[in-house]
Amino acid sequence: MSKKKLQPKQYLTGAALSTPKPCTWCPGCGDFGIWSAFRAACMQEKWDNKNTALVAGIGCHGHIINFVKITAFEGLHGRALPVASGLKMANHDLNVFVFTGDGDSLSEGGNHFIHAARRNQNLTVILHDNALYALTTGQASPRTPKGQVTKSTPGGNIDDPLHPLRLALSAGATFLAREYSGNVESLKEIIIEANKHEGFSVIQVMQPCVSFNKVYTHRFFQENIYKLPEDYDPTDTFSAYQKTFEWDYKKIPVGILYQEKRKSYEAQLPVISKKTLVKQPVKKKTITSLYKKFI
Amino acid sequence: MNVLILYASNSGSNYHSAVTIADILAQKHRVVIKNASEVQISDIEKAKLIVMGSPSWMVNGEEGMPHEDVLHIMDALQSTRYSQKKFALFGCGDKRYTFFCGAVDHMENFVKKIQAKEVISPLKIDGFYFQLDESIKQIESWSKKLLKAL
Repeated sequence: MSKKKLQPKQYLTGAALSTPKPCTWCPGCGDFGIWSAFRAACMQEKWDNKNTALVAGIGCHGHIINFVKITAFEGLHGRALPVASGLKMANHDLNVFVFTGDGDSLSEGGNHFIHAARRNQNLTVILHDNALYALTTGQASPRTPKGQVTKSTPGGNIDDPLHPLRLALSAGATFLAREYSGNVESLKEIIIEANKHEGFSVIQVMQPCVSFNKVYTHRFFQENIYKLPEDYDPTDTFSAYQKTFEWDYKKIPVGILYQEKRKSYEAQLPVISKKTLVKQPVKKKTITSLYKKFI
Repeated sequence: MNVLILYASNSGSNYHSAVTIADILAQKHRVVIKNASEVQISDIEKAKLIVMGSPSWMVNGEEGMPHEDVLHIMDALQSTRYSQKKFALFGCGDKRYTFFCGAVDHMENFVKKIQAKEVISPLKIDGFYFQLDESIKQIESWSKKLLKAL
């Protein structure tokens, strides 16, 4: 018997995932698509307060944790990943999702992003990419295209944009995917796959900012993305690297670009190999003898 | 009856509406749900009832317009006469904007132009994500009315 499709009523409303806070994003914001897809994934996979934790950075994306009833932490600007890393090491049984923006993860948090990828930490990063700083009303971010006029680049942006998937791949991430926020069903499936993957998973979600970005609009992505063909091999590092260079009219690939089996950081830590840290008793030790060596 | 639910969506609200409508109509009918960008003329030909939904956005400097993919379909069919076809229309919008659900009005004019029958009054949803419980109740109630009217 085929499984009945989840209904929006189940994942968008109802006490299981709802908080008393109504969404506050601008009408038409791409964040609604990400929020819907994430809630649908939670419902499908039975992610809840007992098995899942969320971490967000600073930006419009960060509001998402107020609209999903799962325990969440908000890091300082760019510091969602260090908080998430700590969380995962303390209790690696948890599904840990990191919501971050392109400014948050690639500018303020660029160093954390690179090293979390390098260590292959078992986290799922949902990167809300609207190619500018939207919460502060539209300044250039590391994802803003060259030449784009923003409040902070009135003469046109002179910098070339960073490509987060290329950066993550070269740094050592083992799961890379991209989707447009309006493709809710497909995004839900990618989020589920990313969480199943053991290692550092990055999902770049193209999330149009309807208020401040008149270049990367919904229409831009609807017209210019294409689904990776079924015979595409995500285990081929060089193909994936090539794909990360595709960003042009009618030429933006979406789907799972890369997946590699490699031990995660957490899987290599002997201290948590048998039990999560939170389940281990705290051993009280006296350090008097240590002091005496030096005094 | 063969039903085609044809929708366009940006933030996902029209997608959620289409899925909700499909679930109710599927109780008694064969329902196909498709994004407007994937709809072929043959899909329209096969369906007896077409449920069409669109957001209302600015297109080419005009406010309250249907989504471009819906406009393309309407352009392609505008000279056809579909007196045997039934239509039902819906759209998500926001009353804070000048042309609330303007796309639905455009789609109604289109249905008149092709001489098709609009089965029930259109559904206009205000601020889908900002009042989710009410919005979904509204969609369900409209879908049940539509089911009864078929």
